Amino acid sequence: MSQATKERFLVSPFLVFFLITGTQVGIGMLSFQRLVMKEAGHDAWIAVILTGIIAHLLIWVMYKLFAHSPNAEDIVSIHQRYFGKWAGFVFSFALLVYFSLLAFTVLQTYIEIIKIWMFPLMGAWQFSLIFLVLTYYAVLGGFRVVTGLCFWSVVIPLLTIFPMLFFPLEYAHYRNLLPIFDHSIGEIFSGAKAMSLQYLGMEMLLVYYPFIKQPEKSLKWAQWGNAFTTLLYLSVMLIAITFYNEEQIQHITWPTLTLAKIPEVPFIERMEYIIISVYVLVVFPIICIAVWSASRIAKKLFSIKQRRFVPMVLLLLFIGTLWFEEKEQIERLNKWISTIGLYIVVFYIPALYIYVTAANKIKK
Amino acid sequence: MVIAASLLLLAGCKSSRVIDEVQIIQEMGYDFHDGKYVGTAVYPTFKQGPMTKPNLLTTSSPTVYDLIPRLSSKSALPIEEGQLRLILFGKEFAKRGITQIVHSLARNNKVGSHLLLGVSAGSARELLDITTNTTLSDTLYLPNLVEQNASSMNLPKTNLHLFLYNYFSKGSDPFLPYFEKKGNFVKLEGLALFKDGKYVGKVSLRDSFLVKILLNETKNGVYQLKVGNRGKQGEDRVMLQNLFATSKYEWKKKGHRHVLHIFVHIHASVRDYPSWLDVPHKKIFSMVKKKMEDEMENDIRRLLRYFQEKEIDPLGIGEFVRSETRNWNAVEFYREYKDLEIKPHVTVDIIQTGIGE
Amino acid sequence: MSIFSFFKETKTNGEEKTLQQLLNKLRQSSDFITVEFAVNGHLLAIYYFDSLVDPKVLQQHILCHLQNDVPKHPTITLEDLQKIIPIQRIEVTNDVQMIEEKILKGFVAVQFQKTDNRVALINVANESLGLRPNNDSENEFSVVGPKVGFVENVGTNLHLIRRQIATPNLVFREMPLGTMSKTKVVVAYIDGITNKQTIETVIQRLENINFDIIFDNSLIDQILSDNSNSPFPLFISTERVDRAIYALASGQVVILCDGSPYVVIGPSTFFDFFTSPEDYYLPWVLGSFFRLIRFFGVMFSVLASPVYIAVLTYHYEMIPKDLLGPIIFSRSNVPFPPILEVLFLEITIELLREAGARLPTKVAQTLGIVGGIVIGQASVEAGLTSTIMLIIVSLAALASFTTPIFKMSNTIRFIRFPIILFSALWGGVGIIFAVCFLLIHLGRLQSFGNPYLVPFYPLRVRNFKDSIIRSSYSQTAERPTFLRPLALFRYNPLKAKQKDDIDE
Repeated sequence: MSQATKERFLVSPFLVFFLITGTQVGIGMLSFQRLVMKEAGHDAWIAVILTGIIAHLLIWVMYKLFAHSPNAEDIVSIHQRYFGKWAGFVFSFALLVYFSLLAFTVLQTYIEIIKIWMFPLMGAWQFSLIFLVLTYYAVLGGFRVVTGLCFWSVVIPLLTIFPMLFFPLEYAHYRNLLPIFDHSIGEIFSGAKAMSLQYLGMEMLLVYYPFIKQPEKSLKWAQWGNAFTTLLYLSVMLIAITFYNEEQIQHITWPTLTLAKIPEVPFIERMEYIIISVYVLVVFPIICIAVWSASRIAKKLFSIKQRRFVPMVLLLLFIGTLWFEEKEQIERLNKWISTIGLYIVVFYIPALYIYVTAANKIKK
Repeated sequence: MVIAASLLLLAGCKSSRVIDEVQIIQEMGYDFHDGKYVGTAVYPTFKQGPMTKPNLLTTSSPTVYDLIPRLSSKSALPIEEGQLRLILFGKEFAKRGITQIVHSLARNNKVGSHLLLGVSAGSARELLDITTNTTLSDTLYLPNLVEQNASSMNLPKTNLHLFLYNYFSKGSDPFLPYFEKKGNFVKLEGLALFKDGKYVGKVSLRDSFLVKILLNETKNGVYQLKVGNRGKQGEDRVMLQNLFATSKYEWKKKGHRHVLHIFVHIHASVRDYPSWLDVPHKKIFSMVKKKMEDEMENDIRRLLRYFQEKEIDPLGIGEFVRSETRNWNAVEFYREYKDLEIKPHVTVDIIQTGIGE
Repeated sequence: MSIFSFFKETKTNGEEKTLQQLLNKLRQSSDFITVEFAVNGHLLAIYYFDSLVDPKVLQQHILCHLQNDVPKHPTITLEDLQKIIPIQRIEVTNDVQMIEEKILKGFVAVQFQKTDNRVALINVANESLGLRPNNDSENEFSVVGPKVGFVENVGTNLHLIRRQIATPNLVFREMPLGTMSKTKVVVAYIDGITNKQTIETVIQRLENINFDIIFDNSLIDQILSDNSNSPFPLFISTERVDRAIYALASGQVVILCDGSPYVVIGPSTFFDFFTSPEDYYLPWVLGSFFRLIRFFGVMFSVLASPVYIAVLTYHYEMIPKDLLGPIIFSRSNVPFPPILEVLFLEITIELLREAGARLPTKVAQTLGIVGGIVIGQASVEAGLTSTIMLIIVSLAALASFTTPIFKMSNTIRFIRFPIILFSALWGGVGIIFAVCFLLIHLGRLQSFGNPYLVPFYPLRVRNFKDSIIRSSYSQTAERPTFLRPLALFRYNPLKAKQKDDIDE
């Protein structure tokens, strides 16, 4: 980017903590235990830590990538500089499509959960309409408002949902964790692969990087955010391992929600309904940031106003939710998007980094 | 704007389930009778006051899945199972296997994890009928009975989650409370044992104290022990109340075979004791303590023998061994389960008593 | 068009008017008095509005001196009047525009010759006529602490402020506002504490105001507002002197307006609206406790009835078994869905409140009893509502009244309705949708360019000391940093913090 982003649109470096955690922790938190335990059994928590460490490395690589350019740039400028106009355009456009589809899958998956648990008869369009109207309102507020949402999406669920998940420890079988390393390295790695999908979302850093005040200084906070995500996943995973056994968890689609059936207080029980409701707050910033990122890329590629582009994307998403009704389609799409995201984060970004470093060396 | 709002409002009303416009069933009974499945639902009505009046709905069908839709055809309001508190299986039904129902319960997100399951000695319908028609007249009589017994008496904790945990676990088998009809009352008679989703046997309420302790539930329960031979009837027994108990398992290798040691340590108070125990004599007291420990060890051995003969593992011994063994194989373990050597060691500490003081 | 042309006329033609024309125009009102008498060969003429001046001052200090003392000084000019009339700041001018303005504000114009264009303007305005001398701050009551409130007279209000802040840094900047009312509006701030940029923003926004009559400070409040479409008040308006002074000391700007007993304080944050001066008069533990209770009250007031609707309409699974009986029984006679029940009760309460506010105090008390007890009881017996619902709705209404600032408590009662609607449509998810909407909205709001949700977002951990809780005075020496004050410390924290060792 040629001109620096105006000071009053920037966010403080420490808010990157919330941006990273807020985008990483999403709908997967409700069901990841099943997928990871399928591969790594009761050693799944090792896979969680392993993936967390890899994510730390990848965040470091992203910051390194940006460190090459003198003032804060986003991915679109880097693409253009190193790949030329057309190739850069193609890569950036691919990212745009990816972010839009990401927003779409997150929205669709969450609506699926609402429909299954709460409103089997209600049309999906109502929820997607409300979601998209809210997204429009938030994104129009600019990046600061979206970051604010990320902040609330970490704080409020942390205060409401997270404590609930400790009640099931009443039924914990701590022996389930033994013997440690009962599974082969291969099994743990395939667990880590399943786990890696849960860390997706941090790639949006590529777009909002120039919106951080003194972005180089925010690396520390990004790493803390990632560590916090790992801690959340780890604790939920440990609770699930001690609460369920390996066979049982395969019969439960959303283990985290089923955990919430345990806590009871004198005036309310069945907390999973609270979790599903509060999850609006968890899902919503992810959609917002994805849409914001997509529109930001579009702004730079087509020099179209974000104010114009956002409604267009949202309309497409809305039409999309009308089209995709079948569970199987959604699942296939989900798999697709997460695989693409995985390739972007794990292969493309390091490759880009190596390429950029090499290109700089040659120039010198 | 107004049109959109009213459209939303209309759409919203469609899936509402206003609490007084649905038939909330709180208990469900399953029976197998004359080649047909019989389903019984108990629902409360609140016409006179906040106290419930239970009502019964019964229907029969050749398949299990068909029961709830068929019940609906007999009800004025849509039947909702989200407040289900207890599911009772008739013994015949339980013998034929409850797999289908268990699997559907595992997937059903409407029911809570605190849902209780139970087995009735006769038909479930009869038992539920008693709770509705006699003086008990409370839809929550049975759930309260179970909860009370679990929290203060001999019954180990049970609920849907624990049942599913043991059911799906490779290293343990589930158990459920076992009820019997006694005249116009329902009596808790112990534990019904399952293997592969089928009812295979039961243990008495007295023995369920041992199960409770062996499952490492630390508090409550009473147990009667014989400590002497003299005196009239009843004069030779003491009644122990468990205050705090721990059980520890140890998996030791002896030669090329494994031995399972179970160390049980009970801190108990003596509730009732024969009059001759009043004599303040230390020797008698330690003698009695030894006797209690021996008898309890015997009882545990007998109980485990019974489990081994039936090839069931309600204590989760398999689970324990799994946590001690790398690459544990369930099939191999249960092949030799019958001949597994298990050694219980009981220590009884008497606290809070008048004996010997 | 006609309105605009009216403004134009006064602006352009006014300057060309002569004094004579002005006098002729003013004479159309019967309360415009012209007194003429000859002294010393001068034909003195005095013009004033009878309704605006203080007759005592006029007689004792003007007429008396003019009649007795002018003959003693034969060569007296208008400029020399200050020598004989014991009233401060006598102005001599021939500016017709100014003469008109001053006469309309209660000045007396003294003319020596009929033909002379110059007049002396003497202030004899009756400042307190028709105004309350004092205000017991009944609308923002506190048990402990001073009960002096602002009054409708801006002079008195400035006095009240100046009396407590004895520093030359306290600046009052006066500016007339309103094309027709020419209301005296004063911006008060403490130089060297309040951020310069904030002051500039305030002054600039005030200067941009174009309005005919400023009835009350709340008009200024609304016109100044960064987002006029928000139901949330962006500035505190208070009638308590201590609150205004506290705001000044923390580096905020206070805007006073003649004719309004309320002052506007900005920039404010969302959490300022839930603090009461009383928090600072109680020990900090109690102060914090009551503040927490207030926050809980807001949460309860906003969420209680929506949650109840959501649970009863969609999530019956969440009701524990012991509550199931009472809830179903209380609803068994009610033919409506819960949403109608709630709306019926909420609207009843709003009606009661509105009627109570419009009626004289004594009648309002009776009304409250009739409405609250009789209607409530009867509607339950008639099967219109259920008892539990009645309890929840009235508790929610009660909780909304704990908010110390009236504007905010209105807002809280208002935002309940959309949330109720959302919860009736989409249950628990709907409630969170609405909360999400609120969070975005609050996140977008700004008060004089200051984020509204501070110290939560943007997060300022340092300022939490005096937000949800009120920490002890040894902790709160710093001014809130989000106001970017020019001087950070209110008092020396080291002195306040100093603690002696045991037995020393």
